[in-house]
Amino acid sequence: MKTLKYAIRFLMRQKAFTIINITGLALSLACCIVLTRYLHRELTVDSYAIKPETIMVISRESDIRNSIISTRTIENTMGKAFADDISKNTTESCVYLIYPECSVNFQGKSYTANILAADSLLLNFFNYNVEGDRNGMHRNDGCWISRRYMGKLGLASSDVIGSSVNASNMTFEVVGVFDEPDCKTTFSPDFIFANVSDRRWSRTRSEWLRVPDGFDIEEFNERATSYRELPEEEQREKYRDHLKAIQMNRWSDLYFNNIQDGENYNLGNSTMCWVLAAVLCIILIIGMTNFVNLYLVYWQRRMREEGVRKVYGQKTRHLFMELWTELMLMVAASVFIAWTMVELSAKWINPMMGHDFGWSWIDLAITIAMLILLPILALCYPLIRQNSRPPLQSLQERVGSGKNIKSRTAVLAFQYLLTFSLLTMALWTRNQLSFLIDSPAGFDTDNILITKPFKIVSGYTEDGGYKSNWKEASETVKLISERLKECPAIEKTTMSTGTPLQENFGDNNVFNDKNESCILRLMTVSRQWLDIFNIKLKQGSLKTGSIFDLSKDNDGTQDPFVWIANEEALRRLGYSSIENAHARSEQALWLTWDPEKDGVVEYGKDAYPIGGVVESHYTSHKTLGPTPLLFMIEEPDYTEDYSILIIRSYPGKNQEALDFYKKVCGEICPNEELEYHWMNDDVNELYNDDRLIAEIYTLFSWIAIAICCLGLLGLSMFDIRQRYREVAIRKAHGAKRKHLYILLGKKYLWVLMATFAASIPITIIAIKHYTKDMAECAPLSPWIYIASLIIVSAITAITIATQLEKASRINVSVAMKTE
Amino acid sequence: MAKIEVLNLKKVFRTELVETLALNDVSLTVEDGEFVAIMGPSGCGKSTLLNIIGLLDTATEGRYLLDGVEVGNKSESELTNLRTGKIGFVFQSFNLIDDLTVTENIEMPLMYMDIPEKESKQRIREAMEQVGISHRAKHFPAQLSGGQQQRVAIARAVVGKPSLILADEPTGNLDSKNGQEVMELLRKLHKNGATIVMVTHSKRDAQYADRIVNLFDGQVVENVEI
Repeated sequence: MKTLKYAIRFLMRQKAFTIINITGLALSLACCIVLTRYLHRELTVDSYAIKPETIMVISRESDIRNSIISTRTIENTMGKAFADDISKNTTESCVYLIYPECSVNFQGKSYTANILAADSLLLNFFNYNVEGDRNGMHRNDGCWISRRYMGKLGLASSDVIGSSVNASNMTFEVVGVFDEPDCKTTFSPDFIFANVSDRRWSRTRSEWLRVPDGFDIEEFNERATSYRELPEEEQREKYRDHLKAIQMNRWSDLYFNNIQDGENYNLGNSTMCWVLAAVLCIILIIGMTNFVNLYLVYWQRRMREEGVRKVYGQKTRHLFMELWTELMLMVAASVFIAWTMVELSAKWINPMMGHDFGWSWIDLAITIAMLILLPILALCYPLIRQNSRPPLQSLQERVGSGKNIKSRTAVLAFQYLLTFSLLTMALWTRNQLSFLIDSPAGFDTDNILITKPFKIVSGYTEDGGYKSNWKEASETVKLISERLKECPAIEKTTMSTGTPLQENFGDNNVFNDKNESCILRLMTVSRQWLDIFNIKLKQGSLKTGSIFDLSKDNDGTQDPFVWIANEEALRRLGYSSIENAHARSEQALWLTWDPEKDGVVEYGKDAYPIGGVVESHYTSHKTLGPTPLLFMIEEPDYTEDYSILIIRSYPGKNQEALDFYKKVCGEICPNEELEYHWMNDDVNELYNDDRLIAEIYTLFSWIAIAICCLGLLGLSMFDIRQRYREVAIRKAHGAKRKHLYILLGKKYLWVLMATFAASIPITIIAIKHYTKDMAECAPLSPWIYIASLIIVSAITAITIATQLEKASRINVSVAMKTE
Repeated sequence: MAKIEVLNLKKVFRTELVETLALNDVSLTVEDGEFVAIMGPSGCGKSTLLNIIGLLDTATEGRYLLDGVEVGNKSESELTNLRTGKIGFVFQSFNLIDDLTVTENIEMPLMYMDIPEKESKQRIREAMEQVGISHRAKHFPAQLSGGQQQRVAIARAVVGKPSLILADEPTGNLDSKNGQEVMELLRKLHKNGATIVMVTHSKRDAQYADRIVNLFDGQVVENVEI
C-alpha cells in the first residue's frame, strides 16, 4: 500500500509528465485495439467450423481457372486410385454447393438470395445454431433461413417456419432458422437447403473432407502429383485447359490463399492484413518508445533519490515493485482512456473497418496483455541499469546529463523516423486511392443504374427436362423498357448479360496468326451495351455477324463473324492494327447437338478476323491493368442470359430515373423484389480495401504525429528546463530571443531533418515492394515528401515554440541563483 | 576484532584523458565503538575513502574487512545486503527524498529491512525523539530548515540501529548553531555505542571525535588520538 501511495504521489507531483505520457500511450493503445480487433476477425474466419484444422477441400488448378471440386469429380478426372486414396485418408465428408445470387420464390415473392445446399453431415463440419428442426438437412425438402435475411425481409420465426421456398425448380419447406456465426465467414448463405445431390441445382458440387488428427497434407499432395489424370493433349481435348495440379488444401487456408476464384466465397486480402499489421506494429512501437522514453527522462530526475534508497538497502524486488506500481498505474489509466476513445469513436471507426465490433474475449485478452506486458517492458531498462551500478554513481548523477539527453533524443528521432514513414505512406495511399477511383475506368460509370427487374428461375426438372421462365421475364422486361421511355430523366436502356465488371464467357487460350497464344477474356455483348457504357471504337467497325450463325451457311445477306478486340487484347496478340489480324480460340465458342451425327458439334474453333478495336477498360481492380477482351457482338434477345436491364439517366436526374423505375416495376411486377445498384457503387466496392488502407494510414499517421509531439513536448520540457542557467548566462551576455531559439531549437531541427532524410529511402523501398505486382499505380511524387515535411515540421514547431518562448523569457537573476 | 580494517587501499579514477590516484596505499583501522574524524584539504580523497568504507564504491587495489569480513570481491547485491541495517549514512546535502514526509523518509531503511509495521512505528518515534524532530513528522523536506533536514537525515541513519554511522561533512551545509546541534547528536549516538566515521573540514567538529586521521594527496599523513 505504501508503494502505491508513493507511486500516486510521484505521478501527481509530475502532473504534466503524467498527463503527456498517459495521453500518448492511450492514443497508441486505442489504435492498437482497433487494428487488433480487425486483424483478429480476419484471422479467425470460419472459426465456427468444428476442428477447422482437420477440414480439407480439393482444389483443381488450371491455367484458366481454379476451383474447388468434389471427390466424384476427382474420380472422373484422376481415376479411381486417387479417389480411393482420398477416401482412405478421410473420416467423413460433406458435399455442398454454393449458389450466389440464386433466384428464389419465397412466400409468393421473388428474391435473389445466396444459397448453400449441403448434405446431412453439414452440422458435423459447421456449428450452426439452429432454431427449429436441427435435422432439417436429413429431409430432402428441408431448408433453413438465416436470421439476418429474415430480419432483412422484416419477418419473425413464426412467420417463416413452415413456409415454402422454390429454388432451381425445387420446392422446400423452411424448417429452421439459423444464426450467423459471430466470426467472419467465407460464405454467408441466406438459405441452407438439403438435397444437394439433386441435379436440378445445375451447379458444380464441392466437398468438405475430414481428415484424422496429424494428417500429413504435404505428403499427400506430394503423392497426388503422381496421379496425373490424362496426357496433356487428351487433357486439353477433354477439359479444354491445362491442369496444373489437384491438391488438398486446408479449409482454413481458403480465405487468404485464393485457391478458388472469389465468385462463390468471401475471400480475404492478406496484403491488406500485412499492411495493417505493419501499421499496428509501427504505432505500437511509437507509443511504447514514447512512453518508455518519457518515463526514463523523468526517472533520470529521480536518479539521486534512487541512489539514496539503494544506500539504505533497496533491493531489486523493492525497485521492481516501485517502478511496476508507477508504470501499472499509468498503463491502467492509458488502457482505460484508450478503451473510452475506442468506444466513443466506434460510431465513425466501425463503419470504416466494415464491422460493428462488440465486446468479446479478445478485448479482455488485449487489455490483460497490455496491463502485464507494457509495465514489464518499460521497467526492464531502469531495473537493469539501477541494479547493476553502485549507488554512488546514482548519487553523483547529474540530472539531465548530456549523455542521457542524447540517448533520449535518439529514441525521439526513431519515433520521428517511423512517423515520417507512416505519413508519407498515408499521403501516397491517398494518392493511390484517388488514382484508382478518379482515373478513367475505360467506360462510363456515372448515371448508370444496373437493375434486375424480373428473376429468371431456370434449371433441370425432376424428369430431366429443362424449365425456365425466361419468356415471362422477357415479356415483362420489354414492357418495363417501353414504359421507361416515357421518363424524361432516362437517356437510354439496354438489356445485358452483365456489366463491364462481370464476365460471361470466361478466359480462353487464344492464338494469333503466328500460332502464338495468350490468355484473353471472351465476352458476348451487344452494340447497345458498348454504347451505354461509352466504350469507344478506335479502329474498324462493330459490324459483325452473330457467333451463333456459324453453323448456318451464310448466303451473303449477313455480315460474316469477326472479333471485336479491345486495345489490350490486340497488343497481347502482337498486333498494332486490325489489318490482317486474326484470332483463334482454343475452345469451341459454342456447342450444339447434331441429331444426325448423334453427337456434339463444336463451332468457333477457326481463326476469325478482328474487325474492330475498342478502347480498353478495367474489369477489376485497376492495379491489375486493363483486361484483354475479345468481344462477340450479338443482339440482345431477352433470353435468360440477358436478365439485366441497364438504365442510363441524364446527369443530375438519377433520383428521378430511379423513382420512375421503382414505380414502373411496382406496377408491372409487384411480386418481384426490387433489385438495383449504381455502377459507381460497383466500381467503388472494388476499392474498399484500398480505401480502408488509405483511411487507416491517414488517421493513424495523424495519431503518430500527435504521439511524437507529446513525446517532444515531454522531452523539450525537461531538456530546455535543464538549460535555464545556460540561457540566463547567455542572456546576461547579450543573447537575443532569436539566438536562444536557434540555440535551443537547432537540435530538434536536426532530428527533424535527419529523420526526414532517412525516411525517404525507407518509404521508397516500402512502396516499391507494395506495388511490385501492380500493373498500374499512382506515382511517388516529390510533393508527397514535401507535404510530409511541412506537416510534421509545422506541428513540431508549434509544439516546442511554447517551451522556447518560456525559456527566452526567464528572469536572468532568478535563474542564475536557483538553477 | 576491529570494526573496520583497511589495508593498502588504492583508488584510481580513470577518464579518457586523465588518470587520478584518489587513494594511495591507505591503511586504517577503526575499532568498534570508536569515533574517527577524517580530515584533509579538498580533493585529498576523504569522501572516496568514506564511500569505500560505506560500501558505496569499491577500491581499485587493497583489502577492506568490515567486521572481519572481506568485502572487496562482493557483488553489488551482496554489498547491498551487507549495508542494510549495518551502516547508517549522513550526507552533507542531506539527501532526503522530496516526495516523502519526515516520517516516511525516516521509515525508508526499515522498509528495506522488512521490519514489522508495529516495531517500525516504535523505532521511528524513538529516532524522531532522539533528534528532536517529532513535531515535524508530517512535513515534507522542503518545509524544513537545513538543520531540521539534517536531523531527519540523522534519524534516518540511526533508525535501523546500525553499528556503523558514516557522516560526510554533516555540518557542511549548516550554520554554526545548527552544525553544533548536529555534532551534539552524533556525540550522543557515539556515547550510546555507535561506531562513527566522519569526514569533515572543520577542526571544531573534529574535536568531537576520539581520533583524527589526516589525509593528503590520497595518503594518511597523520593519525592523532585526542
